[in-house]
Amino acid sequence: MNPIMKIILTFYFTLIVFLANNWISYAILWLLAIISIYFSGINIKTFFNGIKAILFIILITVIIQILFSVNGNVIFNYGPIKITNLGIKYGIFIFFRFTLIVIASTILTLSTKPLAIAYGIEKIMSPLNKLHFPVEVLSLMISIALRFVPTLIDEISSIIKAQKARGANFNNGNLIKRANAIASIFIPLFLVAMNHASDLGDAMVSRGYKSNVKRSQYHHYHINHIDWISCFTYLLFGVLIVFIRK
Amino acid sequence: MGDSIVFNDVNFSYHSNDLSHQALKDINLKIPYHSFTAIVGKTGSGKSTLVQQINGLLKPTSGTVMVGNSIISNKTPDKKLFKLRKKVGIVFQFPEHQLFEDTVLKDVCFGPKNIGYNDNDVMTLAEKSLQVVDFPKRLYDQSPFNLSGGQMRRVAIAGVLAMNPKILILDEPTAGLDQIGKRSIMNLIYNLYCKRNLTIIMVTHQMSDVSDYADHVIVMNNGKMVKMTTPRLLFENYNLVLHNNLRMPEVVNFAYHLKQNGVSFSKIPLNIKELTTLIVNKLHR
Ligand SMILES: Nc1ncnc2c1ncn2[C@@H]1O[C@H](COP(=O)(O)OP(=O)(O)OP(=O)(O)O)[C@@H](O)[C@H]1O
Ligand SMILES: [Mg+2]
Repeated sequence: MNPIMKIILTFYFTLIVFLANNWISYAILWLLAIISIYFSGINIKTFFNGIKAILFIILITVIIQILFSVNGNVIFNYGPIKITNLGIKYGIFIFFRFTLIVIASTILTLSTKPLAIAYGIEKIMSPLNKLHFPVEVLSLMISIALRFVPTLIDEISSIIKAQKARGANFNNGNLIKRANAIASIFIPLFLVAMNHASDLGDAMVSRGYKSNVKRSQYHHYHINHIDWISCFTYLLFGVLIVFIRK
Repeated sequence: MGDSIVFNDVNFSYHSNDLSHQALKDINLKIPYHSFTAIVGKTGSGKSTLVQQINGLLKPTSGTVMVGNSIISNKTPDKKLFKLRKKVGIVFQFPEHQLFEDTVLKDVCFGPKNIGYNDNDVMTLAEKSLQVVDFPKRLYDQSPFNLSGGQMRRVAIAGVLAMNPKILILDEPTAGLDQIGKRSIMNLIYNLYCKRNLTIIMVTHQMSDVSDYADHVIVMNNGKMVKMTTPRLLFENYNLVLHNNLRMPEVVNFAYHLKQNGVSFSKIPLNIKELTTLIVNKLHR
């Protein structure tokens, strides 16, 4: 699929999630989410590993929300803790809402290469060019930043190893010692990042990079029938929700 | 008597559930106490992975590593490894990337402080190690980032030496230095080896360092240990060298060329001195 379309649809999905306000509309959204996961071709296991941690955080938020709900008929009461039927209902809705948004953005990030996302952002923002906003430079910055994430992760792990070998202990010891251990990672990391940046800058300049020249694209993305089908499906679901919501 | 290092059926994989791509396969070896062992092999053959098993920075996926009487296996808790790290010092590839304090002296203090020496001892250890690596005293209060590459390397080595390890592991200690810098770092390591009764394990791509300094050599290829032998036996075995993407040291190469041209020696010379003696003997006869 075209990355531009994917980004737009993801935003659109987030919007209609906020429109939903009853059981049926959430059910419809879930259906759409499941269809999207299915056709994205992402391995279900990878998908769940990706959202596991954040699901847990959402769950805790929702539980707290439920425990201290105020409106509706009280089902259970213990000291400051009060659980009401409406509280449970809204808790579940909030849980659905966050989870669906997380699912949508996870589909986007797992099924799209970082460079394609940067391309999509550039195209979507390109109208800003008229206002002399440097969209292309921004998009280049985003793609470079994304490109260096794995490199920096490698660097971090090798620095951590080196400091561990020097007896750094990140889990024990008093506050000062621990702060020092953490500094022992971040200062070298910062330096390495700076070195990468200046090397990259030199390499770009020596290969003739100028920010005011139009750059060509290595990949060309076309909008094809799959994009139109998904677009249509999403619109349909959106309309459905507008009618079903109370 | 000091500690020797024993690997028993060590397998290691960076992605623990994927055994198809193992970084180490069935490693069995023994590195004796107070030996100078070189580890050679082409890029990606698993040398760095191998040495990191010795102080538990990486734990074997299966099998055990024994350092003296401490055992490292998959299940060894990190607390125990902390103790081991006092005994085994590692100087990493490009160790200057680990410097972070605002002065050289402070940076060297980091290691000994971490493993619990008191402040006085830390200072003596740090100053002594900086002396050992020949680091000029007037630069002690400099920022480590203003030094030349070779000086940074020395500071980083001093930082590990200050922890007083019994086993010193060096991963390509001379990579990226100029010829003189290389020589002086190698001499420094060899002096340490002789004076402090250390066990030295050195990963290297410099075959002349193997022939000049090492007494044992481990040949790695594709995650497997092809052979553990002595430098002389390694360089006498032309095929072994060839098949593992290694090169002969210059001196040995020279001897082979002479042999091709009809001048053969009674043994393969490992260094200039041996070569000279052999040639002189030939000429006098
Ligand atoms: N952090 C890591 N994560 C995943 N795989 C790794 C990691 N480090 C190394 N490997 C892989 O393990 C294998 C052995 O790597 P290792 O770094 O031990 O090689 P090496 O012999 O030290 O090479 P070099 O001479 O380039 O330093 C390689 O195939 C490498 O791709
Ligand atoms: Mg290596």
